[in-house]
Formats: sequence, C-alpha cells, structure tokens
Amino acid sequence: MGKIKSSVEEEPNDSFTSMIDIVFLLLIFFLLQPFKEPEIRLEANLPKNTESAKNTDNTEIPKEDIKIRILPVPSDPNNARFVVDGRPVGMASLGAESRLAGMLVGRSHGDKEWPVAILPDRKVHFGHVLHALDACYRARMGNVKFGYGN
Amino acid sequence: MANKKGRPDPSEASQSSSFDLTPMIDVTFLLIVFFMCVTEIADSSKANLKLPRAQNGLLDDKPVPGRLLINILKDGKIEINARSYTDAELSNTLAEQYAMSKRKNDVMSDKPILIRADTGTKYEDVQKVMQECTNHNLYRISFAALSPEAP
Repeated sequence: MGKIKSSVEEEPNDSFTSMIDIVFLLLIFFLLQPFKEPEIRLEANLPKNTESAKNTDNTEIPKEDIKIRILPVPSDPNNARFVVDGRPVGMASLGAESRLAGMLVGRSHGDKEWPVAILPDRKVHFGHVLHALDACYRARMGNVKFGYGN
Repeated sequence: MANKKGRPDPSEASQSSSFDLTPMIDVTFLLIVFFMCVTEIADSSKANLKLPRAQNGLLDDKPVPGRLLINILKDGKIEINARSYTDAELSNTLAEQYAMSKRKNDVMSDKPILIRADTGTKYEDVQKVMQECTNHNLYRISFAALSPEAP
C-alpha cells in the first residue's frame, strides 16, 4: 500500500518540471525579442566626380539643383527648419518631411533624375539630415548630393 | 554497502539510480539558448546608438558581405568594430579598404559602407566621414535608420 502511495505522489513533480522549463524558455525568448530592432538603410551614393565631391560648397552646385537647406533654430538646438530654394517648408519637429517631399515632386516637374542638393548647417543634428533624405526617397528622387549650407 | 551475504543493499541501489540528470540537462539547454540569443543580438560591430527613424528605406536584414560599418557617436567619435578610430586611422583604413576592393581599369570602388550615426550627431561630424570616403574613391554609402516598426 505504501509503495502505491509514493508513486502517486511523484507524478505531479515530473509534469511540473517540464512545464517550468518550457515557460522559462519562452520567457527568455520573448524578453530578448524586443532588443532586435529592425534597421533599414538609405542609400546615398555620392557623386562620382572626384572634383565635385571634394568641393562641396554650395557655390559649386549648379543653379538648377533643388536646394534643401536645413537651418538650426536658435531657440531650440534640437530642432531645425527646412527651406527649399528659399521657400520655408517648416519645422522638422512638426513633421515637415511630407511637405518637403511634396515640394520636391512639384519643383522637379516629375523628373526623378532632377538633381537635389541637401545643404545642412554644420551644427544641425544628423537626424534632420536623414529626414530630408527620407523625403527625397519618398519623392523618388534619384540624384541626391550633400554639401554644407553655410 | 553490501550486506552480510555479499549482495548490494537494495535501498542504496535505489538511491544511486534515482540521481536525476534531467535538471542539469535543462539548465544546460537554457544556458545554450540564452547565449545563442545574446550573441546574435549583441553584434559588436554595432555601437549602442539612438538611430534616427525613417519611413522609406531598404530593410537591412541581409547585409552585403564585406561591408564596412562605421559608427559615429553623438560626440562625433568614430567606432569601427567596437574600437575608436582617430581621423588619421580612419583615413588609413579607408585607403586599405579601397586598395582591397578596387576594380581593374577603374578608379572607383564598389565597397559598400554603412554609416551608423546617432540622431543627435552634428552633421559636420558625419560630413567629415563622407568626405573621407569620397577622398578614397568609396562612393557606395548608406545611412542606417530605424524602421517605423521598431519599438
């Protein structure tokens, strides 16, 4: 009788062990999953003309380029404002990228190979520059170059 | 212990056979799974940066083999493979990369370069690296960003 009792008591231990194992495995898996942040890349194939690549001042850019200037906002160092060919587009913090893309489509007359020059201020945060490049991607502009805006 | 007749004690035999390897195997498996996950996630070539977010771009799930990954920290410091580089060291590295990847009868190189810059990095620090790349005829440059789906 005693032997039968002990075998009955041991059974639940076995089943719990494997369940706890599986729960721990799942816990580890789902705990680590958020750390895998999916990254994307925006290609910026630089101009292949060595001379033009070395001379990146805005004076060297031909007149027909669509010039995107990214200027700092003195009152807010983390912000920037976009200006396209002298026309203000808006603040970066207010989601000006979509308006910027719209302006690029309008000014290029639908020509995807129309040259675009991104001319950020030296002190502007890189995040704003990438947003301008993102807008060029959205407008499907295929000829983008970089320079300094000041 | 054997009893007087030289036979093994049945109670002792049952104890030794009940030594269970299952928990040890479980722990080993857990450790293997943990280290497999951690090594996959902790890519030493990628510095811990706050990348800018972008809506339009190519998902970088299958990186091109042989790509050079340049990290630019918020303060403008350059890191490649978890090691800090001075401007001169970067220039030498890019020159080496160009020499290794240069095509025959062509000045240009197809060496892909991924610049991972913090969203708060000053543009002049990124421009400096871009300029150095073009000085060494390396033109296939991409910028890393976070996809909108990222948490």
